[in-house]
Amino acid sequence: MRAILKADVDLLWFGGIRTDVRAPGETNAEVGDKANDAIHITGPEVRAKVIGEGANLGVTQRGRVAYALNGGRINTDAIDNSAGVNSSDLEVNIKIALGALVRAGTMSIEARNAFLVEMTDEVAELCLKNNYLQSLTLSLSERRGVSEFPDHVALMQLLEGEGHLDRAVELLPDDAALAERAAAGKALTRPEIAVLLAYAKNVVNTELVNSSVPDDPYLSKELFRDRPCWRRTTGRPSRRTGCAAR
Amino acid sequence: MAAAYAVARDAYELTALNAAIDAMDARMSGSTQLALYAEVQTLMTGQTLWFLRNEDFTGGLTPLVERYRAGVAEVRARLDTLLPPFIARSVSDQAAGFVNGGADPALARRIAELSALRLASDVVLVAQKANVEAAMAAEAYFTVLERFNLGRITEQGGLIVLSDRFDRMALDRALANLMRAQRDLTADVLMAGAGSVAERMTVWHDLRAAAIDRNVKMVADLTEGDLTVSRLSVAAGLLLDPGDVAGSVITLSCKGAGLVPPGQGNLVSDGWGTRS
Repeated sequence: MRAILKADVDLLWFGGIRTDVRAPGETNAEVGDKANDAIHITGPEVRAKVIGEGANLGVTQRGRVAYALNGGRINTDAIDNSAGVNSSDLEVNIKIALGALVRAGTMSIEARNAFLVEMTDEVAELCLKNNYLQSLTLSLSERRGVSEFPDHVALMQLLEGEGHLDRAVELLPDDAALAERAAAGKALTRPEIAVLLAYAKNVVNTELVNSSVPDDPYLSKELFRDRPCWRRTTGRPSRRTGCAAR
Repeated sequence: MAAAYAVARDAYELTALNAAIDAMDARMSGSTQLALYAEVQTLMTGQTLWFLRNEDFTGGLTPLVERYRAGVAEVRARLDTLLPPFIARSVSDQAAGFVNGGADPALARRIAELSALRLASDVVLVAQKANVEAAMAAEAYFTVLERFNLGRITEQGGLIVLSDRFDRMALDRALANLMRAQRDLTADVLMAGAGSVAERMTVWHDLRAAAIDRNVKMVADLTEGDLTVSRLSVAAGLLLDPGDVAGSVITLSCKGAGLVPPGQGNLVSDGWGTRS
């Protein structure tokens, strides 16, 4: 197992839940995957050029950062395998919205099922598009490197100030560590930017939903772009799910 | 913010442009492809800010998008003839670099042009203020740009990298002031007379030939060397108030001493405004 983890290959791909890679300073207890204590290696010991996280928890966050600071290409599990949770989230919300139509007798359960089958490809495309764009966002941020570093720091401080983010919990660098990075001419790594991305998206999404944006005739077209069932159902759109419910 | 973003994205048709770059997946160098996306992103963020500062959304987004989209299309169609030599060369060089990285020439050209095309928003604003067609406003705009040697600033000003937040705000302000001055001068030229742009330019110039020639020289001297926030600020001051040569000298001395010059207010104030 350790030989596989240390193999000199292009891509190391995690397909099932287990933790194999930690940071040099992390103890087995901190990693929390007792069954694999004997197998753990550290981020810098991974020789693969890229780590792909098809499954969750393959690498600790500190392990990711250590690997990335050492030149490895990695995102986070949430970024790499986002399509899974994205599709189940859409599935649940679409079913909730359609549930109202079925209970009201407007749509039969057979019609609802046929409708779900019909939209499968479209839902898949949306999930993959999100996955694609998130990865691209990280690449563009990474490319700007140190010139964007002050903006990331400002964003962290803003999110903390508003009570949305706890840097310690998310294992983001504290002010001393940030100063060290700046002094070394390094910026945030992809795994760290990924955490900021998630928080930024959540905060912006909440603000948008609570603003007048969904009611604006021009801007609400965006909801049609990203929600499959609006195109097919009629009635007043639900802000939260983007699906119509009568 | 969402409104400004939507207008910027749709006026410049960036969704289609992004899709064209997406289509190059695995068919061109990854790092060059990212460079293409980065140019679009720069335009996107720059123009979102531009619309936030310079436009009013109370009349709804559709009329805004339509007016700006038409203006951008007019400018793009004429870009080959409009661009002053410095900018034209800079765009060509950048496009060649993209082609080297595997981009097809048409896409490379479209992306390389964006740094110049973004000036179309200013052109649309000027056209409205001076009550002329976008095409004429565009011609006047680029003529003034070339006359005052501002091409280097529009191409390179945004590339200055500063790590201190307040330095960055000062740079942003200096550039915004320069672009406002550029717009105001263009409007002044258009409103100076009738006839072709060249005719109006002559009338405008002859009104205050000595002051204008002196300012052209001073701005050129300022922008020929390293582009710094101080130089850009002084250049903006000169263009916004061409009569105030003495004021500019005081400004330069104050900045040298690390003081805020009189009348320039607090760097962190947000009184952007436009003269129009």
